[in-house]
Amino acid sequence: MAAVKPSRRAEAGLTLTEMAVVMIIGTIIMAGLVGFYLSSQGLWLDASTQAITQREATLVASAIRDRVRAAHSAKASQVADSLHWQLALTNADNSSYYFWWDPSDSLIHAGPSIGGPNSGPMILSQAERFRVDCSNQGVRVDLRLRSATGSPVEVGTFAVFMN
Amino acid sequence: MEALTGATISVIAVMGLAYSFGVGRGLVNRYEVARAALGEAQSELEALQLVPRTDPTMAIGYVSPATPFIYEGATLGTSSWRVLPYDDPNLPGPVNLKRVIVTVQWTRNAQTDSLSLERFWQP
Repeated sequence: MAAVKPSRRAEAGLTLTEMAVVMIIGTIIMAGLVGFYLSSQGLWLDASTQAITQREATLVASAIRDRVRAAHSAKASQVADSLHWQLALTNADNSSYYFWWDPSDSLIHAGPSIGGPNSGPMILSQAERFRVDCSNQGVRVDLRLRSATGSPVEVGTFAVFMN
Repeated sequence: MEALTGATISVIAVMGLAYSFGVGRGLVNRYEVARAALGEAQSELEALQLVPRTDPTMAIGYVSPATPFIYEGATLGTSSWRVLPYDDPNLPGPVNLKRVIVTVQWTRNAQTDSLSLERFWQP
């Protein structure tokens, strides 16, 4: 009685055609996944840097508000053009505090003296607009920052002198 | 069969991840306007400090007309304030403080949001 031989098909495993089809499908799926991942990563990076810039804008507005409240008077002057200003605050004890846009790095700086040892940039986002409007009652600030990925962030604030 | 199952799970996982990034981005955009609205409300409260206490617009029960809330050149909503009576139990009299509430409402991407800031004033 002859032994039953297994078919050639069962011994063969995968054919070249099957392998090619699997590899093509796998490549397509992997390319889609990588594309999705890169797109999502870019979205996350953009959102993250914009959130940081939003926090920085809020920080600048809050710091200016606190300083204006503690001040007695203020004087605004243009630094380079009508979009970039400098704010000089004078306190009741005649001490001064400054907020200004620096053309060398496009950042907003603050300190007791312009360019002094205790002065420097407040934030890392560049300011496209730092407009200051002073009256004898308070200071209005209009700020527009640009995040690292290019998203604009605007914030405005108004504070009155308390001293 | 196993390969198909694995591929399906991978696709679902990556789609879920991408969706969560999109939702996160949407929230950042939403709170971008919220921060601007907070600045608007704070500025409004600050400006109201300059109004004399005896001014009719500071009388209890006053509701201000709505003013436009503008962000990046577009009018997204309105801002208004109202003055309510407040009874502080530790102070004498039934109405011993004014409660000034500034409310900013806005709509962006078919989503309506609002925020309110309040401060107490002596009458």
